[in-house]
Amino acid sequence: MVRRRALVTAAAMRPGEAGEIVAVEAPDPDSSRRLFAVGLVPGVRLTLVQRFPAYVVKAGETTVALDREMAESIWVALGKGC
Amino acid sequence: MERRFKVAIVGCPNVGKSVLFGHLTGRYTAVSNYPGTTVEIARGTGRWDGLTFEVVDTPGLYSLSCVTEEEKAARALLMSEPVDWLVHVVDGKNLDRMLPLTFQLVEAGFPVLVVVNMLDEVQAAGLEVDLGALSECLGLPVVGAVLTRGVGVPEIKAFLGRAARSVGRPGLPRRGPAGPEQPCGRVGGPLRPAYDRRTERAVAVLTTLLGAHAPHGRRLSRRALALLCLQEDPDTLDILRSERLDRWPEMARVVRESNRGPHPVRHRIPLALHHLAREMASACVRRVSDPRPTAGQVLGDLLMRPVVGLPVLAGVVYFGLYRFVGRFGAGTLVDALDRVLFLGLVNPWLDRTVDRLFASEVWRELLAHEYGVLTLGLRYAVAIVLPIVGTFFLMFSLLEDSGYLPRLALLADRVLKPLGLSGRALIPLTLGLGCGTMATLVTRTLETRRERVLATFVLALGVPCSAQLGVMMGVLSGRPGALGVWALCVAGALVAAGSAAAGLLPGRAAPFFTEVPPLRLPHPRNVWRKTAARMAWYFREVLPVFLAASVLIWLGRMAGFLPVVLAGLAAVCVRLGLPKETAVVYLFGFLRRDYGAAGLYDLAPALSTPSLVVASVTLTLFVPCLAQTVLMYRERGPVAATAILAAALGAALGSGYVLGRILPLVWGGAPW
Repeated sequence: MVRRRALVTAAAMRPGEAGEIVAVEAPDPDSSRRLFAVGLVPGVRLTLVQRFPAYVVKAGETTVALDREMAESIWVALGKGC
Repeated sequence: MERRFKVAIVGCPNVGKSVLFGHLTGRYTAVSNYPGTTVEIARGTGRWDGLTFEVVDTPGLYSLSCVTEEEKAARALLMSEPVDWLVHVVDGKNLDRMLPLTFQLVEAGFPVLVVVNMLDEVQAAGLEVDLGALSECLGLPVVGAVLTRGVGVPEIKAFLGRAARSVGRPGLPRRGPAGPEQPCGRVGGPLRPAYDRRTERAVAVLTTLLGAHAPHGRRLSRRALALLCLQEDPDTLDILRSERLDRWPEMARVVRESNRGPHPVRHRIPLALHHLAREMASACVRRVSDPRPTAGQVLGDLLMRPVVGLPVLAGVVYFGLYRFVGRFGAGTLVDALDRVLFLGLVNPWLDRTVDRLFASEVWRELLAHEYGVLTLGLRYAVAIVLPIVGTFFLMFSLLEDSGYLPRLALLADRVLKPLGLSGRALIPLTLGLGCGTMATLVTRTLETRRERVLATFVLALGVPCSAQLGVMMGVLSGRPGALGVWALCVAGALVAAGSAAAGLLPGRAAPFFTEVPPLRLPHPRNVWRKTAARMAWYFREVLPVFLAASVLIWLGRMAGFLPVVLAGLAAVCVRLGLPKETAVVYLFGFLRRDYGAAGLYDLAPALSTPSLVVASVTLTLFVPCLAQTVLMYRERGPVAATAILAAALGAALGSGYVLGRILPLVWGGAPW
């Protein structure tokens, strides 16, 4: 399992994969703030639900839909805490 | 006069704020725009315990360091209006990401009542919230609720009643009176989050620099203002820059230095709040059983999958928007009101009455007859706009309250991205097939100004309204080749001009991002109240537009400049290779789109097929009708509206010219 514990962006995850958010680096500060505001902050466990037509992630009881650009700004350590 | 106790309901989107608002206020509510924005604010009054309360329902607010226009409006309201108590509604399932706002509200110095809502969904998720412990941790009064079923409402009212009676009495803690059913612990007041040393030092310097009192008219504490500054919140920085000139350079330096390096303070502050919130949530929320997904959650997840979601989306657009709003609202209801009521009864009576009262033709024409303020302006607003607005807002409120809108947006996002639009724009664009004026109003539901301008442009340029579409089909259906070329040209021009505009307009497309709440059964009373309040508001906005449009037409006829305009248009038509009679079609197409298209119907037999295609393409792309134009000016401002008109005119004439050259060469005017 090469992908285990690898560091990837949410955009590179496969549906059903989960991991812990380690960093949020959106291209502009506003986007980072919005991700923080819905609870996508470092330390939170994130699951990718689907990739098409938009990326959908779940963290806790929250579901969030994102486009590729936003998904690429969330860095996840795969499999952590499994 | 007795001063009313003012309560503001705050919280994230989709946590049940408007449901609580409905419970607290009476029948009368007013929806209005927050000044300078297109964000709706609902206000109402409520009476209980022998007291009168003023209740404000603020737009969705995730955090005081705002991003969206709705958040900015909510914060501006908190900054400028005197509010006696805030009711912070939170989703019990997501306490960890709701509490940061609670902390910020406390930091800002507001008295807060926390309402932990959706306890039913909490239970379904297999969780349990210890409200007593939460109140203890926060040092704030906490009430548990299932607002959709009215659970918790009596406790909220009772608490606000006691709070209202305690106003002005000395010796009562700011966080309000404790009662036996409201555990309210924490001696020493509400919890104030502490930050790391570097942040706290910067906050201390900034609060000192802010001086003895907060800037004029701002109701946030100095600590909250300092924290917003450190997070480089643009609006707060602007306020301070303009109000504290002498100390501004020093403050700017502190903000700049705090945000230097790999761990800037603007990241540490929200992270510290979130970590504190997670700790508190894990102390107060327990897992008691395995989650049982509700039907709404299962269905909600399915609707995001293209296989299930796209057919449902098509169904919602077809039945909800096209059949219900477009055919029933804009067709059946409009017909009944317009033909039967106005044209059959009201207008003939108005014509007779006005003729009896006024001898002068000038006044008669202003008030009644074909283009009168009453017979055209008022009739349009009442008979045409009201049914469409009503049916649309009924549908929109249903979709909004059921939690479907974010799903629609995520499914449509990719398709609309090339036009610089997000998935949400699907709603106004579909409505544009019904009535462009209405659709232009509805672009208000889009999030950024850039997106609203682009959607307005696409609507003005090439989305044919139902009246136009009907006649185009009628005119062109006899010549299938022509119909095909027309559809291709309009679609091509739309995509080309739309993406060109998206490329030219400054700023970039806002990245798409939306929270997807679970599907919920909309509350009929809530849906109805929203629909009624919005109908009343939109009607007030649209009536003056239609009245102004008919006065403009009257002026044009009286001053006699219509013939001049006609002559100019005729010259353009001849350049396009069209008979000069088509000028009349264009002019009427501007005054009333359907009239214009109907004029084309009469003209069609005399035109060769290429000419007919040129005429119908240019007429479709041509500037929108007068009412839509007036509305564009009012909604988007003169600069954007003029640019949109110029672009639409250019696109219409340009493609007409090119087609007029190419088509006869290719087909030689032969019958297709």
